[in-house]
Amino acid sequence: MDSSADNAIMLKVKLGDLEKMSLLFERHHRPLFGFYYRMCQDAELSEDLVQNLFLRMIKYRHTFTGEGKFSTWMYHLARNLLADHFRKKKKMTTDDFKEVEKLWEDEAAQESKEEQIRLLEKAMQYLSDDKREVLVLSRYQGLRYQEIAEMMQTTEANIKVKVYRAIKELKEIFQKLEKLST
Amino acid sequence: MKDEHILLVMDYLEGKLSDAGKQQLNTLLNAKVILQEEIEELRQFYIKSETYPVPQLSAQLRHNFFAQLDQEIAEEQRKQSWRSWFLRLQADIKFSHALAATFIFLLGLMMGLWFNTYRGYEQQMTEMRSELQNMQETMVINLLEQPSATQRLKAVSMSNKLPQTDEKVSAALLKVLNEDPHVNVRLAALDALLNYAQNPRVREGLVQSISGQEAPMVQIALAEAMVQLQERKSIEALQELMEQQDINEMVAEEIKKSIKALT
Repeated sequence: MDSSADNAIMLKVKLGDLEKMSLLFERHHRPLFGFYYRMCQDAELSEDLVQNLFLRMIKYRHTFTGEGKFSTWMYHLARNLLADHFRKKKKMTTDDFKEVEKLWEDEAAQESKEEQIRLLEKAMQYLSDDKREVLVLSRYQGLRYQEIAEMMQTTEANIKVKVYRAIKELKEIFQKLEKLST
Repeated sequence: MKDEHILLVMDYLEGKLSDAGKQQLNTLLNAKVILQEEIEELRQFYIKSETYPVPQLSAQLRHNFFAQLDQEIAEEQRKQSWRSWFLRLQADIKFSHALAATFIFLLGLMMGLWFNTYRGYEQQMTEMRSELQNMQETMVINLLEQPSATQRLKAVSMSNKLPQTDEKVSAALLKVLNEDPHVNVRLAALDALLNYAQNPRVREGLVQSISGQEAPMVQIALAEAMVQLQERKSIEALQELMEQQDINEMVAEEIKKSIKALT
């Protein structure tokens, strides 16, 4: 099923055939779960967010025009939902970061080198929301720079620069955590 | 690092650097505008961070989604028009009257039986059973036509208590399987119809239903039912369904398994 099929299905949902949403659910719930999990690292919360997102898609179906790609519209809503969640639950501040970092010194010391994926997961959490978001969308969710730029109302080059800075910062955090774990 | 250099480094990291880009990057590296060690370190991290797995999803997500989708569909139907609401109300009132009439009729019948000492007990019991069955049958068929999905589900459940040779009820259940707007009701009807599977018309009806179903859950349930009944006549219909362009991937996979189990 390609993206034009997604558009056709969503247009049917828009016209009131809500049952068709089950097809979009089958096709997209896993990648969306991946997006939320990589953004917040809480599997339970990610499942709740995926479920709420599909309800939101039903609620805001009138905003789907069918002109752009369905996935762009879907991730636009997915980002808004996540932003709402973080607004409700105050996000980690820089001061919190310092506190967590201290705790980390003990925790990280127990990490083995084979657990680099876990280190990466932890490092991701220290990235700012916007850096983590461009990185997750482009590297792990497979969205094209053009799509992300459209979603964030900026240029493709700007997104590419943001991704570079995110990778660079992630590398620095990762190396720091890696040092703590050895 | 300047933005234009960053774009070049990003192309390098992603392995998308053109020949001209390679030349440009080499010039910048030779001039130490971009440091070799810096981008090499970044490239190694880029490769290292390629995999970022996510945990398995719980089955609860699917269950919750479909439950909520059903609610949304029901809500949407309620909203659709005031006119249909009035019609439903009217139908509900008619249904209450029918129930009251049935109750009074049953009471009268029982009283009649109580006072009728001249008729043979056995004959009375047979007549009563037949009357009761007719009434249950009528009630199930009436309930199956109700606008409320809950009432229709109740009817499907009641149908399980009727004799499994009941042609009228099996025909009504097949109609529900093919036409009911609610997935849960269609699934319940399918379960109930499996009790009638010894009836060739029901089996034929189930096979014919395959091509008309659009909901993935019903398509999967029908494919599983065909395997359970070992109904080889369904292979062609399942094959056609699997080859449809907009078929859900998971459904296609399940159908494939079913066809394999049938051949």
